[in-house]
Amino acid sequence: MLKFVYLAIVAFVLVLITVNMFRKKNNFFFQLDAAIVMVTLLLRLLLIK
Amino acid sequence: MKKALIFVLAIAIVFIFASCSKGSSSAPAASAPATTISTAAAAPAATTTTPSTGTVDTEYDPNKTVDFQQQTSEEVRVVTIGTVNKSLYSQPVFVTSFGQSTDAAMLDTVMKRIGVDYVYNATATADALKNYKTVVIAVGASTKGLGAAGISEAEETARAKAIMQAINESGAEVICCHIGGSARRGTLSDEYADMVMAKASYIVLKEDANFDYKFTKYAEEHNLPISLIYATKDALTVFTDVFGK
Amino acid sequence: MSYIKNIIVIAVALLFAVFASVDFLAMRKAEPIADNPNVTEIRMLSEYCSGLKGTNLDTEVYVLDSGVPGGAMLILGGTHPNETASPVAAIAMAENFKCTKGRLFIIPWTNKSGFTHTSPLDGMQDFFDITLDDGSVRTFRVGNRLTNPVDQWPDYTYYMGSSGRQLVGTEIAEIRNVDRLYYGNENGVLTEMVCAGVFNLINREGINLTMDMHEGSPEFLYLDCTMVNMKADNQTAMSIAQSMALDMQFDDLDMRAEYSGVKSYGLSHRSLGDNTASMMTLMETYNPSMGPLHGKMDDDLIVNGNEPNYYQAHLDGYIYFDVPENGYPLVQRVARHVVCVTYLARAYSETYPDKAIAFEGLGGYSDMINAGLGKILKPVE
Repeated sequence: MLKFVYLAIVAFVLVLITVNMFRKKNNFFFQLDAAIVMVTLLLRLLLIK
Repeated sequence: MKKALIFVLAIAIVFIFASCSKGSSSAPAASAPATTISTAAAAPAATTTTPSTGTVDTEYDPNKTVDFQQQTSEEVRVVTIGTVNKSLYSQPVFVTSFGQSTDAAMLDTVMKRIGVDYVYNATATADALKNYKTVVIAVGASTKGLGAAGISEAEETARAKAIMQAINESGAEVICCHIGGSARRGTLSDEYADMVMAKASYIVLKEDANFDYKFTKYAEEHNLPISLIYATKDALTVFTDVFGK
Repeated sequence: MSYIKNIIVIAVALLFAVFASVDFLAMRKAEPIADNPNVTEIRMLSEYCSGLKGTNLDTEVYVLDSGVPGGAMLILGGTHPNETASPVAAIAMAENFKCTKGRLFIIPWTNKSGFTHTSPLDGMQDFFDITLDDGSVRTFRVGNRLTNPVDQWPDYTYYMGSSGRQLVGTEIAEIRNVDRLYYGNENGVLTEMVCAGVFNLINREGINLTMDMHEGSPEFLYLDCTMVNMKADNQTAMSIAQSMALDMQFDDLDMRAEYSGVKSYGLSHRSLGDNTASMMTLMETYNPSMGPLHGKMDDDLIVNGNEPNYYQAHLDGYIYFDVPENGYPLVQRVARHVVCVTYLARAYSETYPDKAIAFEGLGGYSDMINAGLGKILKPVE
């Protein structure tokens, strides 16, 4: 049960990061930072890593 | 521009770490060791000693070197100083432990292999030894052993003293057996060794425990025969000689 | 159009994610074990703990039944998947052994989930290869000592195992360590269910003797050492272990036996030994890839056990273990485990002839060294 709560938190953070990426579209390095974080969150959301 | 420079430096660091070669494989092995170990083929040679694997010796100092002339070797596995009077040691034999190290269990195995008529009880009380003319005591303190046996250090020491008292009264012959090596040297182990050597008529010792010549000095001063063994398994040779048919 | 940069960045990130995923998922495929006609049955551990069924922690139990009445022995390999000699030795035994008396149970991947990931930020190698005598290559995984967090997540900030061991503070991650959660709990976390499965296996099959194979970093004090649980009954267990140690010493193999620590709650040699009738032992060999002083991880380190840093540290007096100058190859460590298991079974059988366990198939230590892993391990499809 707790696992699904944590996965929901991961999904929520992933959505927030994605939304923020689109808001800060002119800052390339911010995009890059966000992309690196997205990879790890996505892999955890999909229970790959 | 600054950000681009930071990015390039980050990539460069990653590549530098990735291409690190392993250990000091590119440096010659003989370069600047802190201590050197020299070995001799047959003749005894001065060696620096480190504890053998085993219980942590809290007194061990890696920077302290001791001149120790080892007499036993791969080729000469047992060295006996003095003459062992085998006729003193009649069977059945009682084997016990002072300190609860695993060496007593090794003696159990050795005695079984030789086919000695013996009884083994690492936690025997003084009463159990009453009718035995020969007692072999494995000295060596082990906190794990004491814990496993559910005995405190104080209880073990009291048991040891009671056994030595009983031996004094019965007049049994004692063989002091210290086959755990330098790992079985420490305050408590030495206390038990002193207790047993005071009554022993023969000492069997794994030689690396003699790094400060404690045992050979005692044997010389008290005219006791002492057998130095190179490895624990050589206890089989010694006891075969003493008890074997 | 103004969002095209964002979309490109996300696409590149997803591309990295795909490549990373392929790499990570490759570790989920268990290495095949060659068929051995003397293996009478392959069961799953979930037969002993149903909660494991369908999970990544359900693992194979290889049963070798001689058909001759006798005792039963359990060999646990891969409790810590990064301790390479342990699963490889178990696999070698599963592929080669023939049980001639009693029964033998071998679990090559006790923590099967641990094989599916490596230790983050440690530069761990995930696979290594062994070339067989016929030219084929077998690939083995180097895992992580803990269950994969994707299989058991999150780690609780406090957990009390069945043995009473409290996992808190720096030990939180040990909630995913099989060797801290014995004797197990069928309703506990998944890793604890593995322990419960092993516990139930021992009880239901009447296992008389258990060996848990491990390796330790060079800094560890109990290398080339077998831990023995000395049950309340007697010192017989230690005598049996010493008999094994003496046999190994006569083979010029360093070995000693030590008592299981009284406070080693949750460890197999303590908690399984205390709570089952089986004589419980655990053996450690030297593995330089596990310590902090090792350099870059490569096949030379994993397969040849070669790490000059540790040799120098030994010369400098900081490592008690007698580190060999040219490394401690995997074949020697595997052979050591096999010999220890063989001599232990022999010593046990001599003490309890009605519960004798005997097996053959790999020969002695020098036979295995001369053969090499290329011959010991069999070709697979």
